Amino acid sequence: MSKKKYLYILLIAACAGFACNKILDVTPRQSIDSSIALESPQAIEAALNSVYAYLRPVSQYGRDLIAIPELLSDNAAHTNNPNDLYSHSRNLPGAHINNWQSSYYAINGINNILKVLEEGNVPGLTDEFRERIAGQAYFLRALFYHNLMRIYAYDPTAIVEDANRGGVPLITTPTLKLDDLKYPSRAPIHEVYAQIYEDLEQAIALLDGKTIGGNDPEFYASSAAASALLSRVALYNGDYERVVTEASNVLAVHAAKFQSKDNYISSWRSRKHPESLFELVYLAADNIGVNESLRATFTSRNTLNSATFASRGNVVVSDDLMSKYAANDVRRGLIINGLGRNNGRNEMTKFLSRSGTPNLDNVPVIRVSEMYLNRAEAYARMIPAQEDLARMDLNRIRERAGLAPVDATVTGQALLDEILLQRRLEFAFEGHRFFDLKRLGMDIIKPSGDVKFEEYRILAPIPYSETQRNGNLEQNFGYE
Amino acid sequence: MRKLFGPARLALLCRYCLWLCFSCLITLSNVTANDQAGDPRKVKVTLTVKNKKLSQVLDEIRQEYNLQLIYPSNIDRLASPVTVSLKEAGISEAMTAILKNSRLEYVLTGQVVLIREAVKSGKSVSENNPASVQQYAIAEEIREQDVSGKVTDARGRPLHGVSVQVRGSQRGTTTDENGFFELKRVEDNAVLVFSMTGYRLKEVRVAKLSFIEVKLEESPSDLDQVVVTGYMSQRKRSLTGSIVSVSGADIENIPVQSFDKAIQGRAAGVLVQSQTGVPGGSVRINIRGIGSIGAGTEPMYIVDGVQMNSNAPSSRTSTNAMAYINPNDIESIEVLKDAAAAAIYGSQAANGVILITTKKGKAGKTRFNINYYQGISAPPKNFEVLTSAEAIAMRTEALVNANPAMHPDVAKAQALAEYGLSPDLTDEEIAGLPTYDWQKEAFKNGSVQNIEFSASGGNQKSTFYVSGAYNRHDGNVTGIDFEKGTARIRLHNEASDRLSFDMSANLSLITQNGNTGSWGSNSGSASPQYTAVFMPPTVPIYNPDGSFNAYAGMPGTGFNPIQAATVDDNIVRHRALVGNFALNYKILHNLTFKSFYGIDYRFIRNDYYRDPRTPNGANVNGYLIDENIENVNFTTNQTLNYQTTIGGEHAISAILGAEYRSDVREYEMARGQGFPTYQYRTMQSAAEAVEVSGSWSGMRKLGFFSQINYEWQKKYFVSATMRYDGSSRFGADNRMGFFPSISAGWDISRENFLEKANWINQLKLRVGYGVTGNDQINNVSSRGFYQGGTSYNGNAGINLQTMANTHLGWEKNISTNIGVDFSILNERVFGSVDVFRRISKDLLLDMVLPYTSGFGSIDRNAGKLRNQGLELELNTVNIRQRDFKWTTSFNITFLDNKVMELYDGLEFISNTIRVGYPLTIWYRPRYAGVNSANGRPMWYDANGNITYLLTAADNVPTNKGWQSEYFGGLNNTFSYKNFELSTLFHYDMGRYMANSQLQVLTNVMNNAARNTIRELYEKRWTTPGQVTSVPRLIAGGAEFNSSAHTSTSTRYLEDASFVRLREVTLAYRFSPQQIAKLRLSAARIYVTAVNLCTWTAWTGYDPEFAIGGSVESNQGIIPQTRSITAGIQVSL
Repeated sequence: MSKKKYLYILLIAACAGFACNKILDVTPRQSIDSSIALESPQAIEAALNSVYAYLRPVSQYGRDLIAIPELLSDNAAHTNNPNDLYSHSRNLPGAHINNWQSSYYAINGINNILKVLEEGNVPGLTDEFRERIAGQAYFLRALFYHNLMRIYAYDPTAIVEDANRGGVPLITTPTLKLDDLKYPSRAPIHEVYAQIYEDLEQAIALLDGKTIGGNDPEFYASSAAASALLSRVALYNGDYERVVTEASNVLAVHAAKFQSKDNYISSWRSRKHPESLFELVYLAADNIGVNESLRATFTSRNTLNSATFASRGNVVVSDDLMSKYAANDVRRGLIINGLGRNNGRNEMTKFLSRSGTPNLDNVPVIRVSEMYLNRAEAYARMIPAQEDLARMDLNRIRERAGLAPVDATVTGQALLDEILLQRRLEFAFEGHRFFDLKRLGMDIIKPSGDVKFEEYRILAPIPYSETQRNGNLEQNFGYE
Repeated sequence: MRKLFGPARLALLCRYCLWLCFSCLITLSNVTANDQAGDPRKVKVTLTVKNKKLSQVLDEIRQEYNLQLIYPSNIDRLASPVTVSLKEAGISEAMTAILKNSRLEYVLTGQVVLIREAVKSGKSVSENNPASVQQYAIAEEIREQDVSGKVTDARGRPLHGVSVQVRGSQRGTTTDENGFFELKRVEDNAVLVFSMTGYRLKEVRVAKLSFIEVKLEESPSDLDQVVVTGYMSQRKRSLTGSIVSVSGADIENIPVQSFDKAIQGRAAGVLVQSQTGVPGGSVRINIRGIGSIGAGTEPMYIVDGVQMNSNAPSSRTSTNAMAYINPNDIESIEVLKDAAAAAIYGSQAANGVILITTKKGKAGKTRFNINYYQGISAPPKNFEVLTSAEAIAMRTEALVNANPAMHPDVAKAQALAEYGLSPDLTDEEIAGLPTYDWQKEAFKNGSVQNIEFSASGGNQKSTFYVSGAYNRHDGNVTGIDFEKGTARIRLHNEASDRLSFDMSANLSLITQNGNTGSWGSNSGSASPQYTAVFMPPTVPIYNPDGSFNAYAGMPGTGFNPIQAATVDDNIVRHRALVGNFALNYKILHNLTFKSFYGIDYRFIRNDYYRDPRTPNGANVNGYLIDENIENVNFTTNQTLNYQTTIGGEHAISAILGAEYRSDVREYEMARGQGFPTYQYRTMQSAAEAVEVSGSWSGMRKLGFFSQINYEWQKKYFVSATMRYDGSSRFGADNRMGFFPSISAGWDISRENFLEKANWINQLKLRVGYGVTGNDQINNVSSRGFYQGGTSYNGNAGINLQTMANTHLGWEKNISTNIGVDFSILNERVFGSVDVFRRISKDLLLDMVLPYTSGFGSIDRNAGKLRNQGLELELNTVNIRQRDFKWTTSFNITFLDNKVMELYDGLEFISNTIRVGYPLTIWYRPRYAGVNSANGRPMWYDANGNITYLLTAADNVPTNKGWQSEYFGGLNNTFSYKNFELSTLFHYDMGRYMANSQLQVLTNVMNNAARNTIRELYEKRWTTPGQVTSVPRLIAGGAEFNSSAHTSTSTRYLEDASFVRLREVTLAYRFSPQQIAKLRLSAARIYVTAVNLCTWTAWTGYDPEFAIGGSVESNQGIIPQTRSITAGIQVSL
C-alpha cells in the first residue's frame, strides 16, 4: 500500500518535472514578444505611432530642441529663477541638448518597422500600406539623424578639422535580442548626410500623392514635409542647388500656407500653426506640465489673458534680440512683458497654451516661411549668386513683418547678413538660432561671455555612459 | 491510602502498568481485525526464514495461519533479524524460537497472540495463565486517565505558560498562573513533555501518576527551544545551519508598525535599516551583506508558511507589506542566514529567509489579553535658519558678488522684490521684519496609539487564537499618518488521530496619509520635509484670517508646502489578507503528509488629489489620480514528512515536497482634472478625464525539494537539502536551477573527554555549505517586448520595451559557514561565533547597453561578488540573585564586501561599482576647499591639480561607500522584584553617505528668495585671507567660467555611522496577590522610549536611511523620530 503511494508520488513528481517549463510560461497581457509583435498592419501602424511619440518628450521637441538653441545662442536670457537651464544660458561645459538616447530608441523602432515591411511576411499588407508606412518611417529617420548631427557633429559647411570626430553612428538595421547587439563607431559626416538624403528621397517618392491624417495631414509625414526637411538638410550640407529645388517644390504646392501680415499674430494663437508643413501634435495626455513645458519655460503667464503669474518663465528674450526688432515689426507683437517676478522681462509668447489647455502646445517643426528663407540664403550663396531671387524671397518675409523691402543696393555679405537676421527674427524661440550660427561657423556673442566657434562647447558631449560602454565610439573633442 | 497500595496490589498495579506500556505501543495499523481468526493453539507452524525482520516474519505467520497476532510497532528495534527453521511447530515452540534473540515475550490470551517487551525479571508468562487474560481485560479498561499537575521553577515558584504536550501527539495544554495544568484522558504510559522558553525541557512518564509535580530548571541558552527551520522544525541543540531567533516577547509593545523594524540590533548578521521615517514605511534588511548588484537584495519573508510578496505595496508613500502583521501577534521570528539553512527555499533564498511564526492557541481555559499603549513622538532636530533681515542681506551680497557693477542698493531692492517685499523698505523696516518659521510648521509632535485584544484557548482536540488590534501613528511631518486595524484568527483541529487541520487568517486595513515626497527622497517643491528649511523667512505661512498664504508665483519655490501637505490628498489604503490552510494526515505514525495552501492577497487604493486651492491645483482646477493595485500571491506545497529513531541513538527526519507559487499584480489608473470646488474629490466630478491606464504582471515558480536530517546520540548531526526550482522570470533556455546544501554539527560537550567538564553545557561546532538562488528581477527581464501605452495624435502606439535574453538564468550564491555554539558556566555565558563567506556569481547584472542599440540595459548573468564576515553573539547572565537579575546580550557583525568581477572585463559599471571595491562606493571629484584669496570653490582635477572648472574626468573613486563595516546591538535587561528595565543600543558603523540636503542648502544660498542654515551662512567666505570651507555667495551659484558651487564632490560626503539608544523599556509586573481582587491573572504596566539619543557625526536630520527603491538620497526624506509611549497589559 505505502509502497504504491511512493510510486504515485514519484510519478506525479516526474510528470510535474516535464510540465515545469510549460507551467512556467507566463504570457503577459500588456506586451507581445518582440519577435511576433509586428504581425498585422494595425500593429505596424501602432509601432509607427510610438516613433512619432519619441519626438514629443522634453529632451526632444517638448522643450530642449526649441528652448536650448535659444539659450546657447544670443537669443535668450535666463531669469535665474528657478535655476533650471541656467547652465545652458552660460554655455557651461556639458550644458547642451541631450537627446541621444530617445533618438536612437526611435531609430531602432523605425529600423524594425522597415525590416518587417521589407520582409513582407505580414498577412494583409498592401503595397499602398507599405509605401505609406515606409515613407513616414524614412522621413522620421531622416529627421532624427539630422537633429543628432546638428547636436553632436559639425555640419558639412563649418568644420573645425582638429576637433572633428565625424558624424554619429549610423544604424539602419534593427536590434531585438542580445545576439543582435553591436558596438558601432561614428560614421563620417558625409555618410550620414548621404543616408539622410536617401531616406528623404525615399519618403518624397513613397508619400507622393498620399494624404495621411485626414484633416490634420501636418501632424504626419508627407511628401511636402520631406521636401521641406530636405531643403533644410541641404542648406546644412551647403548643397544650395538642392535647397532651391526642394524649397521650390514645396512652395509650388504650399505657397498658400504663407500667412499674411494681418494674420501673423493670430497664426501663433491657433492650436495648429497654419504655416506648418510638419507639426507635432500634443494632446491632453501628452501635456508636459507646469515645470518643463515650452509655455512654462518661455512665459510666466498661463494664457494670453492671464493676469497672474503662473510658473517659471525662466527663459526670456535677450536684450540683444529685442533690440533687433524694429519698432514697427509685426513680430514684436509676440513679445510681451512678463507677470509677477517677471515684470520687466520680455517673454516670447509663441507657446502660450495654444490648445486652450494650460501648458499644452503643438510644436511646429517646419513652417513654410522657412522655405523662403532657406531658398533666399541658397540663392545668395550660390556660385554665381542669384541675388535678385534671394532678395525676392527675403522681402516676402520682411514685408510680411511690416518692414520695407530691401533694394538692389543690398548685396553680398550685407544681403547674407540681412537674410540671417530675418531668419533670427522670424524663427526666434523656435530652436534655430544656435544651429544657424553653428552651421555658419559663427561665434556666439553674449553678455555672459562669448563662445568662439572653435571651442569644444559648440558640440554636445556624447552621453558619458555611452562612450564608456562602447569603446568604438569616440567622444567629442574636449569632453574626453 | 496505604491500604489501597498494599504490596499485593502494588504488584498488580505494576503489571497493569506493563500492560499499559505495551498497549500504547500498538498502533492501529498493525491490528488485523478478523472475525474468523484461527485458534493459535491449534496451528502447526512450518516456516524457514533467514535474516528477516521480525515484523515481516510475524506478518507472514499472521496471514498464513489467520491468527490474531498483535505486536508493538517498534518491534524491529527490540529484536535482531530472525533466522529460524520450523516444521509443524506448536505456537509456543514457534514463538519461543522466533523471539529467541529479542527482548520480547509472547502471551496467549484467548484467541489472541500478544507480543510485548519482556518483563525485566525474565520470568516468562506461561500459557493458559488466567491472570494474564484478566490483566489484558483490565488494561483495556484503564488505558486512559485524567492527569493534573503543577510546574514550578527550581525554587518552587509556579511557572505560568509552560507547554505540556503528550509526546508523539499534538495534544497538550499550558499551565495557568499558579503553575497548574490538567489533561483529560491521557494514555497511562504516555510521556508528557514540559517545555518553556528559557527552561530546560523535561519529559515525565505518566505511568500511574495522576498528579505530577515538575520542577523546570532554568536554561538561559534555551537549547531545547524549538526552532522553525522552514518546512520542518528542530530543537536548537541539533541545528547545523546558521539560524538566529528573535522571540515575539522581545519585540512586544515597541511602537513600530512592522516587526522588521523591531528586530534591528537584535540579530547578528542581520542589518536592519529604516529607509525613511514614515510610520509603516519601508525597511531594508540585508542578511550577511549585499549579494546582488542588479537583482533584489531583500530576504524572503514567510509568514506561517506563506511566502510574502515583500515588494513595497504602493509607491504613493513609503509602504511596507510587513506592516500587515501585528507585531504583537508574533510568537517568534527565525532568520535563516546561511545556505545550509536557507537552501531548502532554493530560489529567492540567496538573501536569507525570515520566518515569522504567529501565536497559536493553547489548550485550557480561555485567556483574554488586553493591551493598550499611547504616547507621543517628537520631531527631529530643526536647523537654525536665518532671520528675514539676514536672508535679505545674504541675497544682496550674492547679487553684488555676481555683478560687481551693481550698486548694493539696487541689489537690495532686487532682493526685497524677490522675497515678495516692497523694494523700497528702509534698513530699519528690514530689521523689523517678522521671521516666519516654516520648519516649526512642517515638523510637529506626533502621537502613537495602540489597542489590542486577544483570546486564546481550546481543548485537546481544538485550539484557537483570535486577536484584534488598532494602531494609529500621527507622523512628525505635516500630512503624514498611519492607521491600521488587524484581525487575526488561528485554528487547529484534530479531526481524528490521523487527520488534523490548521487554518489562519490575518486581515488588515491600513490607511496611510502621505505628502509629496513621502514615498522616498524627493526634491518636490510641495514637500514640506524638503523645502521647510529653505522657505523664505519673509513669507507668512498663513494669512491673517488663518487661511494658507499661497498664490501662484509666491516667492521661494512657488508653493506653500504646508498648504500642499495639508489640503492635497496622498492616501494609500491597503486591504490585505494573509492566510493559510493546511491539512495533515498521518499515513503512518512516523510519516505525515501535509497539504498546504497560502495566500497573500492585497488590494491597494491610491488617491492623489491636488487641491484646487493650491496654486498648482488651481492651474487645472484640481487634479485627481486614482490607482487600484491588486496583488494575488498564491503558494501551495505538498510535503511528506518522515521521522524515526533507531535504537534510541539514531534520529532521522526527512521531508520530500513540491511547491508552486504564482504572483499576479494588476494595476489600473485614472487621471482626471477640472473639479467644481475642492470639496469634490472623486473622479465622478472631474470635468476632463485626462488619462486611463493599466497593467498586468505575473510570475510563477515551481520547485521540488527534499531535506534529510540525521542525528546520532545528540552528538553528531548531519543535514542535507536539495531543491530543484524554476522561475518564469528567466529565459526559456535556462529556467531551472539546482540548489543543494550540506551541513554538519558536532556537540563536543557530549564527548566522553568533556563529559566531566561540568562548566561546559554545550560546545557545538557547525560547518555548512550550500547554494541558493536569486530571481528578484522584473517579471519579464528575459523577454523582448513590444508594449502599449504610448500614443500619437490619439492613436495607440506600441513600443519596443526590452531586449530579449533567452539565456538568462539564476543568480547563485555559494555560501560556506563555520560556527561554534557555546554555553558555559551553567549556561551563564552562551552564544555563537560564525565566520562566513558568501560568493554571489552569475549575477543578474543590469548590463548597460549602448543607447544606439535602442535599449538602455539588459539583464544578464555575469560578475561575481564576495561577502565575508564574522558574527558574534554573546549572552551573559551577569547577576542572578533572588530579587535582582541582570542579563546582557551583545552582537556584532563585521562585513567585508567586494566586487570580484564584472562583465566583458570591465573594471567598473556606473562608476560606483568597481572591481576590487565594496558595493557601492562614492565616485566624485575631490573638494579642495575655498581659495582664501577670492572665496572661490576649488576642486582637484584628475591629476591632483587645483581647478575651478570640473570635467567628467575629474571624478575619482573614493574609498568611501554605503556599506556598513560593522553593526550590531547591545541589550541589557535588569529586573528587580517586579520591575524590569531593558535598554537596547543599536550601532551601524563605517558607512558614508552623501548629504544631498546640505548640497541643496548650499545651493539655495545663491538662489533668489530662499533661506539657509545659519552655520553655512556664518562660515561663508567674505574677506580675503579668510580660511573656510564655504565659498563666497554668488547669485546663480557659479563663478564665471567655473563649476557650480554645489557641484557634486567629496564636500558633501559624510560619515553616517551612528550609535543609537534604540529602546528603553521600564515595566512593572503586578504580582498575583496584587491583582487577585481584580480577578486578573496578570497585569503589567510599561513605558517605552524609542530613539532616545543618537550619537553621530552626520549633519543632516538623521543618519538612518537606506538608499534603494525610491530613496536616492537624504534629500527630502522623512527623518526618524523619537517616541515615548506608556501602556498597560492585562490578562484574565
